[in-house]
Amino acid sequence: MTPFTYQRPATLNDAMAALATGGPGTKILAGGQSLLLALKERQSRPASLVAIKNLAELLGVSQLPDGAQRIGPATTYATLSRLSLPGWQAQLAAVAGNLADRSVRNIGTIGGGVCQADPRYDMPTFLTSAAATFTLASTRGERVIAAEAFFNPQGGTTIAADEILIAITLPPVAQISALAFEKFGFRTFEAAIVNFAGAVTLDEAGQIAQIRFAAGGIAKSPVLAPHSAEALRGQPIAALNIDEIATKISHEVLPPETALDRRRQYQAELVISLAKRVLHKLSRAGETQ
Amino acid sequence: MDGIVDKKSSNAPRKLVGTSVPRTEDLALLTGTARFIDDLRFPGMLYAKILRSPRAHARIKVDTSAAAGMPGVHAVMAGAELVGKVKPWGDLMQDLLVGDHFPFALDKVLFEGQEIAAVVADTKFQAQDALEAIVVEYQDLPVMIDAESALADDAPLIQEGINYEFGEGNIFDRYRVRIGDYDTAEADADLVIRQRFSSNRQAGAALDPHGCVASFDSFTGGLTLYSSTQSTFMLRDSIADVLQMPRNKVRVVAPEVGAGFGSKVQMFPHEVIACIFSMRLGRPIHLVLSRADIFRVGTARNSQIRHVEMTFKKDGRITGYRDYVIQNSGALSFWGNQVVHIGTNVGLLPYPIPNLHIDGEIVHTNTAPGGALRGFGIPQIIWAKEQIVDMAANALGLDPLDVRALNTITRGECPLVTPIGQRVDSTSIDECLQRAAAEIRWKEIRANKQPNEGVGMAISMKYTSCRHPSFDTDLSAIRLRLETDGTVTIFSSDVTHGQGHATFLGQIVADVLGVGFEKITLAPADTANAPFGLGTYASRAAAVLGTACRTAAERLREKIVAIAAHVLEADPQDLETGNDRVYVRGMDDSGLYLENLASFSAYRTHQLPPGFEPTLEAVATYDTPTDREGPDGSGNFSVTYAGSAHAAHVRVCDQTGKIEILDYVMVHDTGIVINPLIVEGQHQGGFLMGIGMALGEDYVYDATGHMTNASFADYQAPQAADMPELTKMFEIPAPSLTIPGGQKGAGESGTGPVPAVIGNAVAHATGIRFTELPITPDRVLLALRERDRTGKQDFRYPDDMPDYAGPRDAESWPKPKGEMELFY
Repeated sequence: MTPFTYQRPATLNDAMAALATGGPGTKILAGGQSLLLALKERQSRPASLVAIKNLAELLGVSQLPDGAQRIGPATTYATLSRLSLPGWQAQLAAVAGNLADRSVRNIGTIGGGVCQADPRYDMPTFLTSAAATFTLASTRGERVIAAEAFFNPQGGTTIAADEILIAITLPPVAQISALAFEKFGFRTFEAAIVNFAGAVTLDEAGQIAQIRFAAGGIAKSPVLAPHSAEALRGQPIAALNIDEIATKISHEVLPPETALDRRRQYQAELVISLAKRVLHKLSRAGETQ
Repeated sequence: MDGIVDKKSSNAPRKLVGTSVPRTEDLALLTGTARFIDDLRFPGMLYAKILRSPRAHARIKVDTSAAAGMPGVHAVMAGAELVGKVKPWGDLMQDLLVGDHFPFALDKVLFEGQEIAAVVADTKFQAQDALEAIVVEYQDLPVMIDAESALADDAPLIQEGINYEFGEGNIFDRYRVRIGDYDTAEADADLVIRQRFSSNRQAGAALDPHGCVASFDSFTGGLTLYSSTQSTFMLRDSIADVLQMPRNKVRVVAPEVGAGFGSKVQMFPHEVIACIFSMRLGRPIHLVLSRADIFRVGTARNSQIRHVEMTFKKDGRITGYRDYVIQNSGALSFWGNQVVHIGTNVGLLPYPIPNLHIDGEIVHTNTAPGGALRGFGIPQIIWAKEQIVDMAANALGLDPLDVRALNTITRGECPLVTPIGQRVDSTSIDECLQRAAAEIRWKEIRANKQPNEGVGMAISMKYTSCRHPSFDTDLSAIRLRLETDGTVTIFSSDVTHGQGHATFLGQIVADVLGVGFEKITLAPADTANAPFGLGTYASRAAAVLGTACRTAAERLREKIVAIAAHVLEADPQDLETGNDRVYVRGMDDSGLYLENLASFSAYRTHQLPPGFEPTLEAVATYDTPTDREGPDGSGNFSVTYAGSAHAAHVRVCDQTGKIEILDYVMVHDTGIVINPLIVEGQHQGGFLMGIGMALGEDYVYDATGHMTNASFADYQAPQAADMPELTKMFEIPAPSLTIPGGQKGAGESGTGPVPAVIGNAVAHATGIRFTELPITPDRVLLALRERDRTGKQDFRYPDDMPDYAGPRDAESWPKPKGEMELFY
């Protein structure tokens, strides 16, 4: 570590003020799961740290009147894993509870994770597929942006230096009929080589009104497959040609001409395998409609 | 039951050898009170840090001047100032010392992580700050990652200005075996299998880091080095030689050592650097390496490319073995060449192959230094040879089990001498083989083959200690002292780092002396008070150190019994030891306490027999009756051989490429087992390192020679959650006839067969023969897809992949560089 000033503001307003006046060397410290490691290795050398993990405004999960879930970014993965949310929102607990290992889940927070924005660690892919929104605040005011706008395709996020992520919001439970998430890594506790999620909204007839796929691990931010998704609109979820769709998704998110080395070729194959698993789960979800 | 107990039987001393005495070591480990190298603190201690090269091959110019003025800094050092003051060191090759090691790179760095400069400061953080002030100019040179590129005629020279007796260019040593007549064997063969196999780099990855504290006493001129090492005396002698100090002025002490696996069995630059700083400053110097540094400089398993040709008769009989080995030992290597010599010789077992023609080239590359690692070359040759046995069996329409049974040496043939000269005193490997097959349900699973499932097996033998060709010794020693209160202290310079010395040596001493196990203590390994021994490596502790311990205990017992005979006015022949006493046979609740006998020797010497030297110490050294390597590669390097037969039942996922181990069987011949609990732990650990080599571990380099996975997050070491439950572990003892207690080495026999077992099982499951390690899910899945795309039978990975450029057949088969005969 190199020396830095440590600030522990009492309120969110104080935290925003600290960021507004802190200058470019000021960083937010959430759970510390990633940042502390980087500090120890001197890979990150902030002049000042603003610790936010105890700010009451950023803790816990609350249901909004329309059935959406507002997640406090300082909530740990371990806390999220113990939630029982309705319908597809329950996947939040499942994804959080199967992320890395227990000590990471006890320290790491969902907000810290998404701001670190490494799609290999599941949550960015899950939130992107669910069309979650991200609320950012600063002394200048608040703004709400979609997942695609939050995760920067060049890596990292689009948060401004003086902004704090104050909420992640899952859409209302009625907005999505089913969501499925799959991942694969060589070892149980490590980052995924590929993760993949699909979220479908069905009409009364069990036909696809909207479907959204996100693949993680293959680029610096989660990759959507809009063309593959658009082609499925109106099709009955129970009668999809899953093998064909999975291959099409893989070609869309990781074109064969770009899969030139072993790792990329493997990821392309894994996208097919995981997309098949996700589609099978979604098609079964249709049966219970 | 009315509580009546037979007094005689309850008092009869119980023998501890052969029982699972709980490990003496575990209390400190489990309660976190064990003191490892990083826990040591001394008054006035300073902290050193090393600046390491971020480049793999470059000319350098070093300017350390800005570091000296940084806050808290006491001293700064780089290589130039040590030239002529510090003696270079290296391996002894065929008795010739090679000076290719130095504390720092001078004008050129050879691999990423090589030492460039070092700083001492009041704190670690100040030392780190000062390192950042050191300016190094790098002028990059071409980088060679793999051994084949380093062999190219136009390859740049990595080690400049070093003359190797048996090598030139980037070849720093050669290996040659000529036994029988391979050409005739090939001409007479019904089948020749020719296959290139490559193996991976693997880290020791001991959780306890490499590190040391050096403390020089300016008044006495004595230097004490506390180091996380496997070998105190070899380290002491190396340090003293490099610093040109009298050896009685250098003392090496091992604290608790949290494993080594072979990666701590040599002297490292950081140990020399800490000593020099301490001698300059007269202060204790703490220098502990980071995990990333340990990956890069802590020595890795040598990767090998083996071009193997094996000849078979129709019935499966192996008649010949030919091999051209290219070994990547990294930019410099203390033990690398020995790995080829010893690993190949012993790895040929358990088949007494009559015709051998082996050439080896041990090559420098711009990668991490190669060294000793659990198995020492044996997993690499078994990986190739045991897969070829399966390939031949398939080609001949035979069961691989039957081919192994036909070729292996058997218990009934022992003792026997093999064509290469191994004297196998005893074995049960033939019985281990059949037991492994039965336990894995070999016949049933093969008869009822399920898609993507398969069984595989391999057998190997592991040396129990070894006479290294580079030096002519294989000894260990013990000093025992009966203390004046009847307790016993064991002094040994061989470091315990997971082998349970305090426990198993205590069991031996307890049985021979009749002293209570709880009264025995193992002193820390310290060259100041322990007898000279080589160290703890090569599966040698139980057999070699254990034999020295047994002899020392017997010598001490003679002295104790002599005193007791005098006091009791009895014939020594009539005396027994047990229950902390010496007593007349048959009267085991009487006699004299060891405490009394010991006190006579210290405080009541008139009680001693006339002329008895008043000491209750005994020393014994055991040097194994083993051979030096002959010019044709022949020789018996090992005192006895432990056998292992492993078998696996696997399932391969055709969606992810993941290999799931459904069942795994290990059957071992460890001779007479002193402590079954410890031996089982060794086999489990050995399996774990084998499975890491088979399924995941490797040093991954980018084109610039930067290792991209030098952290536990990225390095694919196996973790508990992904390992199968090992429930099928069996011992079929064939007691060693050479080692007096009958024991054999346990530490490495669990590793040797594992990669080949997995390779054979995956081949049975999928029809794909993997010839490259590790067999990672990405390789498996891409191979499955390519096999399906091409429809090719007997698909090999990577040989049948579109981008493979290596040799496939006799025409493209490479030949050793240079005329080997000239070098011998």
